[in-house]
Amino acid sequence: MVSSGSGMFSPERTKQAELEGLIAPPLVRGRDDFAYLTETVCGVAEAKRPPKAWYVIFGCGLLLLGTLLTMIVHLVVTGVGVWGNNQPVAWAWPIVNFVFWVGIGHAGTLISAILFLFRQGWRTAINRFAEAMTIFAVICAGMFPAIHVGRIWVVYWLFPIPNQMNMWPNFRSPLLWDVFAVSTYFSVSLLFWYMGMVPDLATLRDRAVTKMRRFWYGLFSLGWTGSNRQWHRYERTYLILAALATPLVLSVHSVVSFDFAVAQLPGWHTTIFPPYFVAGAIFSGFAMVLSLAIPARALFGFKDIITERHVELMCKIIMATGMMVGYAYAMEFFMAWYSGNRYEGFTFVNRASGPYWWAYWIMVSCNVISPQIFWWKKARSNMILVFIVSIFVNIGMWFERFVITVTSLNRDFLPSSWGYFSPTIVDILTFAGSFGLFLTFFMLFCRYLPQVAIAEIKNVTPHAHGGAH
Amino acid sequence: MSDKTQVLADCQAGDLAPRTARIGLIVGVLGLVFGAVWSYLVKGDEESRTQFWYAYLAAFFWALTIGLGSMLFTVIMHLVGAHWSVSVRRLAEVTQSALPVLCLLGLPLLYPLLSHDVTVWRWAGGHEIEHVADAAAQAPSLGDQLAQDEHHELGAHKLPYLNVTFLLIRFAIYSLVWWRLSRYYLQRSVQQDATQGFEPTRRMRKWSAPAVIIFALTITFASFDLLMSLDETWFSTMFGVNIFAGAFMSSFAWLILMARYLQSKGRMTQVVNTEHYHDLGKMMFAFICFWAYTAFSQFMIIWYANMPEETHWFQNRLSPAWEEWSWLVMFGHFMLPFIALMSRHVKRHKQALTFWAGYMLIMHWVDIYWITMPNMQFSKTATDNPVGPMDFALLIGMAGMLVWAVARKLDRQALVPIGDPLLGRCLQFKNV
Amino acid sequence: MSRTESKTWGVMAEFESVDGILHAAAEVRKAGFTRWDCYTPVPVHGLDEVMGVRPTRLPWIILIMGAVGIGAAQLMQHWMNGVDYPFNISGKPLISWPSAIPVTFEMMVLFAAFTAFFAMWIANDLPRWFHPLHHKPRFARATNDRFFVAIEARDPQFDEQRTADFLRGLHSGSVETVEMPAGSKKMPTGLARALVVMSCAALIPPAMIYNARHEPSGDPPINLVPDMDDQAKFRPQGETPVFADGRMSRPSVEGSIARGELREDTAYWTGMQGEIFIAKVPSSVKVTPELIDRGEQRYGIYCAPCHDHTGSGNGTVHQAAVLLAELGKATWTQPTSLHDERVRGLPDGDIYNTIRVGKTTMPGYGSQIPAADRWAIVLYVRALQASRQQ
Repeated sequence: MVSSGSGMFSPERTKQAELEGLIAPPLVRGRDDFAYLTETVCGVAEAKRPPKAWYVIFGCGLLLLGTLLTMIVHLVVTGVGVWGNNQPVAWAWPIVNFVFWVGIGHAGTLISAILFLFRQGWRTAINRFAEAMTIFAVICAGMFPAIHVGRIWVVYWLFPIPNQMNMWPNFRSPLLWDVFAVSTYFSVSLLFWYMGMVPDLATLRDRAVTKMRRFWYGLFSLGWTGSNRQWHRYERTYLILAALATPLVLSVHSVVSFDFAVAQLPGWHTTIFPPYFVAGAIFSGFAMVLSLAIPARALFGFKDIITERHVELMCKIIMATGMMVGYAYAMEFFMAWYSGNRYEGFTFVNRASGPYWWAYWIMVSCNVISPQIFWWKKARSNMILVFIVSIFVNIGMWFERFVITVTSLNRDFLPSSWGYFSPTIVDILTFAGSFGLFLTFFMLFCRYLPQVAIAEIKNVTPHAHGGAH
Repeated sequence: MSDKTQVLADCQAGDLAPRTARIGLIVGVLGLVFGAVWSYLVKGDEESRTQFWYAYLAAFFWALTIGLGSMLFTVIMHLVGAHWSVSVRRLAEVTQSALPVLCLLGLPLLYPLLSHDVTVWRWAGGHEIEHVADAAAQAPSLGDQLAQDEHHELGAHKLPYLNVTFLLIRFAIYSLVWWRLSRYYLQRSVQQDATQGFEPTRRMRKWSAPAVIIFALTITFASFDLLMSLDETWFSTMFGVNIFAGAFMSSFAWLILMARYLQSKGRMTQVVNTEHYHDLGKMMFAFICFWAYTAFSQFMIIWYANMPEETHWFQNRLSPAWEEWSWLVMFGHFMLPFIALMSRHVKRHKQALTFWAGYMLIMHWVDIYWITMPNMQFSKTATDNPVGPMDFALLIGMAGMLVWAVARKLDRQALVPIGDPLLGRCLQFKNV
Repeated sequence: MSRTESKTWGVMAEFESVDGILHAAAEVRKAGFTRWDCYTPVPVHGLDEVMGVRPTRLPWIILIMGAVGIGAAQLMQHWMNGVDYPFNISGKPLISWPSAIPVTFEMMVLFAAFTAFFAMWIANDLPRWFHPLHHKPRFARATNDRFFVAIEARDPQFDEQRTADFLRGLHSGSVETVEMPAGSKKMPTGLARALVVMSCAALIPPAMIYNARHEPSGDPPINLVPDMDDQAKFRPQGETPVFADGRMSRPSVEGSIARGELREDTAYWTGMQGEIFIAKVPSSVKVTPELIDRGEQRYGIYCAPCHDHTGSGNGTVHQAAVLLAELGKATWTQPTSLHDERVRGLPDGDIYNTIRVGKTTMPGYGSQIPAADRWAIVLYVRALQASRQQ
């Protein structure tokens, strides 16, 4: 080991580089002692009343949730005909919404797992938040295929459960892979989220003043004492779960992309789909994290924990993944020409200039063009602008799924069976209602659970590391 | 115990560089000459002559991807501001500076491009498209006739892109871009060694994002132009990503080997430690998995849809002649190293890691060879795999040339970016 | 020992910083204690080495269960789709390894992740309802901002006074004795009952599944919203109050003709009069040069691929088929030459009938060629034959 005595590698030089922004500055701004961090995060869950805005958003969430439930009852009682899906666009709005929500559900586990493996300490400020988002987004996603089957009471046919007809599901179908991928993803994300939360729930338990809180936080913190032997196994397991969740994130959206790509339809069948979908999912997931984190940090007073630097780093990831998505768009277009396949070629011309040209150009401008503003540091540190761009990206990514699904189906091989898809009011209200489901869960999470991983963020402050050894 | 001067002395290649370069050059020339002699003089038939060019292309592309992977390593590390990799980054910078030489090693491929003696890229005879049409007329059976017609039509469609002139222009552009980028990143870094300023780091970081974009586009189209177009009827949007994954993976293997070699000769012993090897090993492992992911996805989508315009590519590789080679790619390039490198102890065990790094470089060649060689017309109908001593000779020869091209630059600067402000962090760094 | 009497569990000492706990842990270990632990709000790096905590064996258990997941997924898929319930889907092999990979991967992750999660809690002796340390108010800060060392009474070296003094000597902020509290150590009975009820309820679905597998049923599935089973539509022979006669089936409208019932001119439609082929084109066909031209054109489309344009049976299909036959990939009989003596002698009705329904290896073209065109082709065939009149 080189000792700290030599000038070239001296701590002073490292310090200087830190000052000049070449080395990451401390992750927490201002006061960073443990008690302050505990107080800041737990304060939200322990406050007598949440901020007024919370009631407003929660109310909107409940209203939309009611709409969703009404629409689902209407759908189940009447039949799938209440939706706009029909030949030739038989896979329309619900699958678009499914892929949209699953995509959003990727950032959470990505931040928890991949950034953990890459030792990105800044993840600690946002990972709990993003994981919660993942769980609720996947619930919203899973709902769409479930109600899409129409007769929802036989949805168990999707799983290999022994039944009275002595039948088994078809494992050679990508749709069944999807069932396994999404349900595995949901359960593993839930375990990961919950496991990460146990030490923080123990903190809330130890601070609890009311009986109710002591009981519920006590129940869910499982009697955690924070003994080093517990931490030792806990950390090892957390690392392994992260290592398992990383390929899982990739696999889930890859399997979703297989739903499309293994088919023979031009516009769906292209080999770049798996990584392209994964990049798109991360892209939209980070956009959603920003859309939620920017209001939340203002609302709950987390500005010292989720700092401008966190937002800036997320902007950079959005720009990078946006570029990957752009690369995939470009490759698809190039190959559509290069392949010499006239159907493939037509599909792409049709996307850009056919009846759904507007959807295509909304997608391109939101996904590829709008994040380009993040080349400028000024734009990355302007919270309002970042918030707006993150909303644009969310819109763009919804349209990406719409473009893939609808424009490929509406004009395929046979011109005689071309058609135009428009959603019905039930379609639109169901989608809007899914935001209600999401918001309701998310607001409850914000109110009652630790929104920031307290133990983990303490771990990235200097106080968690001995100075003398 | 160690002060600045000692570290500096430790970080110089000195006369090790010319010695290594000499050995590399000798091995390289011998390997390449042996390959040429074997195929042109010893065997001499048309089949072996064609195979020589395919094998040369595979070996050339193998070496090129190692250079490109190293360049990507440098750029990515600046992009993310990583500190763990600073102590080995100079090795990557030197490897990337060999890119111009590696590009020049592609010049012999002008022969199959411009002559009609051997056929590697069928479209290279593009201006004689009528010639193909004539051949179609004389084809023995109706099926062949139809197939040839289809080739003809596709060939005509792709002619504006796939023609020798445009290929040479494109390749000149790629080479120029690679040369500029590799030079820029090496020079700034070396400049920083002397000045100890922070400005170069800032500039290199600033340019890293555009550099990655340019890099992604050039490696994609270079792989389309040289490898994918060997079968001009086949296409896959994943192809560039797959090649990138293999290239990046092999750059980690290459850096491990390079650092181990220099350390075994008593260089840079104090700046690269188990922690750095562990991380290089982890990254290699990660990109073995990512490569497998891209390769499997590409296979899965094409296999499942089973459309005639694409599926023939894999059908060919699952034919009796290539089936075993395909299993070798799957097990050798993924399963085996995946199981072996899963353990933390292997990644921290220097000898074991060195073995697997060398193994992965060979497997990277196996992969490139698997992409290249089955396109050869003769091998499509054969029942036996055509791999022979010539292929290995070319691999060894190209490896020698790579070593030469890198080693000759090794003594021009320190082996470690001693001016990098992150180096201090790098040396203290510990894996969790 | 009476249960109400309080008993010492151990001694705990509080520290303010990571350095303090690291130092204390090293000293405690040096002093030879075995039953002790550090309690920290964050995982303190380096503490494992200082305390001499051996690496956990959890990774091995997780690895094994991951492998079990792979095996289970492979067996499940191949048995279900290849053995127990084989059916052909888009020509994919019954046991096809590429399409088994995604589910295999997911099951591997699922098994490994669940094992990791549950094995970790079990190894940590959690969940537990009660811990003596949680009854010390000071200890609440162990999950906030203080670091604790606790040495348990069951340690062979433990002596309440001396251990406390020893800990005090480590610059601890405060040292306290931890008693076994007198109160209940059990979970509330309400919670325990809820858990029992929930575990029993959890057994119901597997029991139903087991039952279902053993008693296959031919009944239609139960539909909560039975609108698919019971649709508002007319069924044959059904009754309805809508019509006066009460019948769902309606009689045909006066004067309507069913499909295929307007072919009274049997000679024209079948080429036969009774059981005998008609010798000449029926009178309802008006023979004109245009009709023969039409016949030539139709012949070129439908007949020439096999019989060739001259009618000698050398069409392109024949040529291609011969090549295939030579390669042993097909068997082939040459199409009949229309200049055969036998064909020349056939009545017009027979040729018409052959076009309509086919003969030996020739398939019928009735569905592609309308009757008028069939007669046109017959005329053109006659013209062809006439062109080769010997």
